[in-house]
Order: sequence, then C-alpha cells, then structure tokens
Amino acid sequence: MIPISHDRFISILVGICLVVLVTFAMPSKALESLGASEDTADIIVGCLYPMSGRAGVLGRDSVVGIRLALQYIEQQGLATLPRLRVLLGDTKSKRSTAVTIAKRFVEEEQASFLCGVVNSSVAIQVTEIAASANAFFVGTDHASSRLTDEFFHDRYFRVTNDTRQSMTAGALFIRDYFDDHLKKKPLRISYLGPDYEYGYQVWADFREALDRLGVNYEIAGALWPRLSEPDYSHYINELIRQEPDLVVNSLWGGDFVAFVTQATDTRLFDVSRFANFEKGGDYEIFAHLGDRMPLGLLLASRHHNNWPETDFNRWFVQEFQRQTGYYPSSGAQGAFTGILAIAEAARQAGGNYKDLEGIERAFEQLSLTTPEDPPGFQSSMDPVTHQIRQVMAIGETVKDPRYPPAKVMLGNWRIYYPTDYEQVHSATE
Amino acid sequence: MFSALLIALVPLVVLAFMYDTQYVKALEKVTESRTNARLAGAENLLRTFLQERIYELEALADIPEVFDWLTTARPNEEPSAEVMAQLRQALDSPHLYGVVVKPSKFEVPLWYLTQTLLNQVELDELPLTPFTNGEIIGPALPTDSRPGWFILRLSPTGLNPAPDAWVGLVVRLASLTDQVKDLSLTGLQSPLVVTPQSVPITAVGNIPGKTSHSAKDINSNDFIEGWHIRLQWLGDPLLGPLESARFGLILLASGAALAVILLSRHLSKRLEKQVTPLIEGADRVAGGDFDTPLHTDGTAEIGYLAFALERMRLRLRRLVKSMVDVERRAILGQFSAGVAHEIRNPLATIKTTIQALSRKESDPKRQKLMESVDHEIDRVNDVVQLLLDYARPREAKASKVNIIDVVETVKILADAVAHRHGIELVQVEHEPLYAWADSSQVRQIVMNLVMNAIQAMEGIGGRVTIRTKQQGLAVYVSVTDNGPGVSADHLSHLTEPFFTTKTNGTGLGLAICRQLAQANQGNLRFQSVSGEGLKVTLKLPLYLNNENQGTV
Repeated sequence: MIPISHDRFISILVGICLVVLVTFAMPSKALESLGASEDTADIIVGCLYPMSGRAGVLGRDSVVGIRLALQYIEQQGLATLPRLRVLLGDTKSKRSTAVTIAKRFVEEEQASFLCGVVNSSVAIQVTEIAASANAFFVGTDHASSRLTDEFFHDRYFRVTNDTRQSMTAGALFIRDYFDDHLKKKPLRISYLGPDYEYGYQVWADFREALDRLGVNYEIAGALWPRLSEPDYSHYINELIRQEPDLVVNSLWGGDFVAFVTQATDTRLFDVSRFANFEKGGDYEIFAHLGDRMPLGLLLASRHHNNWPETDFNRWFVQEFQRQTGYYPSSGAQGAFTGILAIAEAARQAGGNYKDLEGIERAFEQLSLTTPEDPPGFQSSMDPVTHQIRQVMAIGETVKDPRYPPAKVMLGNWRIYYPTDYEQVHSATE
Repeated sequence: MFSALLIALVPLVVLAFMYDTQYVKALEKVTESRTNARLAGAENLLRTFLQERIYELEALADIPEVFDWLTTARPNEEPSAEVMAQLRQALDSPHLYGVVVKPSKFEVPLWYLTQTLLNQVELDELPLTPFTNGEIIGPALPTDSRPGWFILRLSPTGLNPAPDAWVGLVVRLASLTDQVKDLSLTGLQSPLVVTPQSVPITAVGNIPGKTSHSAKDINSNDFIEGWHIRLQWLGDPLLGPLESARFGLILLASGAALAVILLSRHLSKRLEKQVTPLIEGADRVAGGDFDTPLHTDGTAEIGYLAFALERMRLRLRRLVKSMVDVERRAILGQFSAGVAHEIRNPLATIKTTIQALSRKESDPKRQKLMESVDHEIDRVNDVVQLLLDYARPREAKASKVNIIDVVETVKILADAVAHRHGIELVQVEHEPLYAWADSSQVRQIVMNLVMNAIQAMEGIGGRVTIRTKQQGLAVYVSVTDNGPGVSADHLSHLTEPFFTTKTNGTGLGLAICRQLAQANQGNLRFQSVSGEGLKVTLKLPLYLNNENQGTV
C-alpha cells in the first residue's frame, strides 16, 4: 500500500467531494424532490424557482412554502386529497435554464403540473412550454398581466395577484392618499422598474389604472435598471434630479433591498414620496435594513407577516419561522398557495388525477382560503382570465419590533378588495 | 508713510494679478487634458462594448444550425429546436432584449422580443450606422412606456449590398450609455451619448428633461459614425462657487488694499494734525516762549509725546526762572553788600551828626527838620537791611511753632496801625495749630502780609481777615483784604523783587516773604479778582509731634 500523508488525504477527499457536488449540481442529473415518492405519487409537480443570486431568497423561501403546503395537506388527513411529488429546479433567473428544466419536467419526469417562476420573462417562456405540452402551469410569484392576457392558455392559472390588480389597487391608493395634492396640482410621478417584461407591464398597468380613475398626474421620467444592477446611484441621482412628488418603484427581491439600501444614504426619500405596490413590502427588505429602513414608504406585497391577523396566517408565519429560524418573504405564501390550489383542484375534480380537463374545470371554479385572506374573504379563481382574485393590502412603513431582525413593518393599512379594483376596469371596458 | 504703502502695494497687486492669471491658465489646461483623457477612455469603452456584442453575434451566426437555417430556410419555416435553444441562450445576456433573424428567403425578419419594446417604433425610420463588419440599426429612442434599444446585425454572407440573410441582437441602449457613467461629476457634468438622430441619452438610458446647451458643453469625436459623447455642463454648481470665491477674494483683496490706502491716508493726516502743533510748540519753547502751553490732545503715543513735551516745557520754565532768580539774587547780593558798605557807614556818620546837631539846636523848626532827616536815615537803613536780607537770607531754624500765638502777636502789633487807617483787623478763631518752621521768620511773613493788606486799603478803610487752618500735612495762614485787589497781569509778578504797586514801596517785602516761606518748606499763594480784594495764603509744614522730624 502506498503511504499517503494526512494533508494529501484531505486534499484528495475535498477534490472527490467537489467532483461529486459538481456532478450532482448538473441539471441533467437527479433533481431534488419533496412529498410523495415517485412510485406512490398521484400527481407530479415541477416547480421552478431561482435558488441563487439576488432573487434566490424568494426561491429558497418558496421551497419552504411548498414543504409547509405538503405538511398542511397531510395534516388535513383527507383521503380525497392527492399525494403530490414536487420536483424542484433552479432557474438561476435565466430563460434558457428555465426552459431546459421545464422541458425536462414535462418530457422526462412526466410532470403534469409546472409551478412557480418568479421572473415574468422566464414565465412567458415556461408557459409556452406548458401550453405546447398540455401541462398545467400554476404561477405563484411572477406577476406580469400578459401571462393571463396575450400569453393566456387553458392550463395556465395564477394564484397570486398580478400587476394589473396590484397597480390598480396602487392607483386607488394614490387617488385617496394624495387627495389634497391632486386637488391643487397634478402629481409628478417618476417610475423606476426592472428592465424586462414585468417592469414594463407594471408601469403600463399603473398608468392605465390612473387614467381610468382620472387621476391628475404627469410623468417626470421612467428609468429601467437591469436585473441585478450592481449600482443604483446614477438612477437615484436621476430620480432626485427629476424632482417628482412620487417615485413608483417595482424592483423586487435583492434588487429592491440594494436600491433602498443605497437610497437611504441619499435625500431621495426626503424629497419625494416613495411607493412600491408590487413586492416592496416583502419581509426580507425589513429584515435586511433593520432600523435603517425609512419610515413613511408606501408599500405592498403579495403576503404580509403582520396582516391579516387570522389564525391561518399566524400559523403559516409561525410555522415557517419555527422551521427556518426566520420569518418568510412573500414568495413562500405564493408557493404554499400554489401547491394547495393544485391539491384542492385535483380533489374537487373527483379523484381522477389523470383527468386533466376535469382538473382544469375544477381549477376554474376554485375557491380556497389562503393565509393572506382576511376574515370573511376567500380567494377565488377568475374562470375567464385564470387569475386568482385576492385582497390587496397597502401600508406605510412604521416602527414594529415584533418580527426581528426587522424593526419596521407595514402599518396604517388600506385594504382593497377585488371588487374595488375590478370596478375600475369594468367601468370603462 | 502713504507713499511707502503705495510702493509696497503696487508690486503686490502686480504679483497677485500675474499669479491669478497663471493659476487660471494652468487649471484650465489641467482640466482640459484630464477631460480629454477621460473622454478618450469612455469612447474606447463604448467601442469595446459594441465590439463584444459583435463577437457574441459572430459566435451565434457561426453556429452551424443557425447558419444553415439563415441561408437555407424556406419562407416562413419555423426554426428548429436547436436553433431556438441557441437564440434563447443569447437572450440570457443582461445587455440584450432579444434576437431578430432574417433568413435569406424570408420577406420579413422574425423577432424574438417582448412586444412592448416595439411600441412606437418605425423600423424603416431608424438610422443605419456601419460598425466593423456589422451594422447598427437605431437606436429606437426611449419613451415614457419603454426603454431604448438598437439592433446590432451581422450577415453571414456580407452586408454590402443589402444582405439577404442576417442575424441581429436587440441591445439595451442603457447598457451602451452605462459605459459613460464614470464621466459623471455630480452637479457639475453630466455625460450624454448623442445618437445619430442628434438626441442626447443619459448614462441611465433616458432622454434628459432639460437639455439646455452651454458653451461649456464638451463634445467628443464620433466614437462610431454619427454617435458621440457630450459632457453637459450643469451650470457651475461646483466650479461656480469656486469662481465666485476667486473673484470674491480678488474683490476683497482690492477692497482691503483700498481700505488700507484710505486708512493710512487718514492716519497720516491725523498724525500730521497732532504732530504739527507739537513741532510749533517745540519751536516756541526753543525761541524762549515757555509760557504758551503745548497742544496735548494727541492720541496714544502722540498723546504721550505731547504730554512729555508739555512737562518738559514746564520744567524748563521753572528751571529758567529759577536760574534767573539765582542770578538776580547773586547780583543783588553783590550790589546790596556794596550798597550797604557804601551807604550804611556814611548814613551812620550822618545820623550821629544829625543827632548831635539836634541836641544843640534850639530852634524847634530846625529840630523838627533834623528829626525828619533822622527818620529818613532810618528808612534808608531799613531798605538797605531789606536788600541784605533778600540777598543773603538767614537760614531757617525749624521748631514747633504755635501759629495761633504768632497770628495773635502780629494782630496786637498791627492793630494800632490798622485802627489808625480805619481798618478792621479780624482774626478768625481756631484751636491751637502747630507748624514746623522758624517762628521768627513765620512771624515776619505774617506781619508783612498783614501790613501789606493794611497799606493796600490806606485811605479807603476796610477789613483784613486772618484765618488759620490745617489740611492734610500742612498748616495754612491766609490774609484777606477787601481792598482793590490786584490785576491778573500783576498777580504773577508780586513776588518778584522790586515789583511794587505802591508809590513808596521797595518791592522787596513779598519777595522776601516768598523766600522765607520756601526756606521753611512752604510757599505763598496769591488769589485776587481785580476790585474785590487780595487773598494771600501761607502754607507751612504741619508739626507732626515727631522728634525725628527733620530740620528745615
């Protein structure tokens, strides 16, 4: 036997481990899965999330949300609920990677459901694959309204609010909140959104809602930093130079954290009001900035840890915190609802999990209670657009130490029900 | 002083002007060379960015599947999965919005691009710019609803003439303009990329709201045909204050110089105004005028100088007076001694003779005449004695003197004379008062003063009052009459020898009194208003009940 020194042994061991890790990290190899085993699964769901980069926190939290959903389904103890096997894929926020994984889910893993996807541009690619493969695509975190519009297909369902809903609620909020200002002069608005499909759609939906509401506004400028922009200082300077009354922002995830972190060191929040009605109210931003989080920002998200104060939401937030040691961002609840919706639609379809058309019809009529539903309200699917109808809660950043490390949370809530923002569009359509 | 100041200031002003001019030139030169270097660097970055996209495009066009599809695809034939995968791969770049391809047999190109980006775009109207072996179409300028972009296209078969097949990348305009962001100087310079449509685009990819042109805007050369960088001058928010500060400093310095000139002129005039009277005063003193006071209103050092000169004048006056007095006394002493010798002896002979003759004379008329001669001889003898006393005063022998006793004795002696002339002699009562002086000399002084007062009122009557008092360490005896008094002109000459206002006076009485007073460490003071009487005050040192009190 050839003698090997201790250091050399360690080096060889580390090398082998690296090779093994790299090999298993390759997309062509085995995928991580949750829930039922391959043999016992009634339905296979392939979920796609970014697990790395600035959007990674949303993906990682979504996986915990999926795990919680599976746990919740199991706790129901209903025999009519399907056994789900959930495959997980890291899109790395790239269209090509997402397309490759999505194809593999439907073609090789026989997944009848795709779910997840944070990035709307990636979602457009994935929904086309789902459409061509006749698979369901349950959107849990992307929000571009074009997914339920020009890219609509029968098997696409979205279980979180889209940009049209959130920005219509935002426009209603603006009309109410700036009432005094609007009576005197137009509201100067600057927009800063991510430079891709989602950012364009948020801006288009917001302006359409403002126009429909007859809000007196003028555009001071529109800026489009790219995803994962490393330095927002020039954008912040340009926003300050434009001297708007209100900056509307639609950055999300780590990009929004980076933007606010940089902006807190400037006078942007002093010279203009600041709003993000999409994902600006995500817990991760509060956790990251702690007591440096500015007060008085007008934010919303698709789920809030401190609203509504229902048992279901409390259970969801506390269980998440118990399992992970930290509080969830909004992506977790979206993924949770997505898995819950798939199981519930399959159950309501009658137990034949191969009857995709039946499941589709059940999905169209789906009503279910989610953690973000306030008392007396139940989320329901719009059978025409396949877009879920949920309440929008918009708040203002206030001091609230109940969810450490965050020192600031949303408060002073204004609540908008689906009927509120649907009226805006139905009135003129 | 003023001239010296001007001589010092003029070279300083010239030096400051030259320094400022050279400083500005140097600053402009450094700024310009630095700006040019930064602009050249940014031009390189822009070209490099485009060149990198060209490399990506070449790599895409060189993929066999893509090349085959571009050159052989039938009209409207869908691209294969491999081709789509390759195109999709290209879209992962953060600088690209999409891909556009035009196979050779297609009528129109195929777009893989979010439709929002094609809003308000007229493709035919976009400018065309050659770049290396490719072409740039656009840019499609940013609008309120979408960002700007341009197409970088390449033909596998060559672009000239118009290509049959080509593949293009839809490039994010903000990624190109982002290359110039380092030229930004917050609040001072804003870098803009000017497109072939002559529209400026900011580093963050939007069209600036206000694009006022300034002469200080700096335009680079075209980094590619029709495209250049403009450094927009933002109105001196940083350099403006510096320039203002510079001009402010120049203004301040000029103002300060002017102020110094005016101040020095003012000081010079004031100095002249203060010094001139001193010079004139000094000239007067030099000419022998010790009596005209000097002008002592000067400030600070000049004031001190004036005061010192005035003191010098007073001391000189005293010295000269004292010297004159000494000289006069010496002459008078010699003269008196001579006169005494030459006059007293014959007088004694005459007196003896007269007395002898008188005793033998029976004629009462002649005897009366002889008595009269005898009296006159006594009077002449008295005058001679006075002269001798003045010229050779007796040394004072100080002791405790009861002033009240002295005054009472004098009053008793003088009362008869006063009464004869109808004059009331009054002594104001006072408790015992002691002086340290020679008692006989004090008596002589007081007697002389009282007799002078009585003589001043001969024929008119009046009152002579003798007062005594103690104040501080001095004893005062004042003799006041209510006679005609002495004019101010005469007052200062009263103690000069041989100065008299009386028709038969010798002019030696008060001179001797003053001499005796000074010999007893005292003095005489005369106060009078013409027509209202004269007051003469003798000041003597107080007896302190101290055996060690020094002798006078």
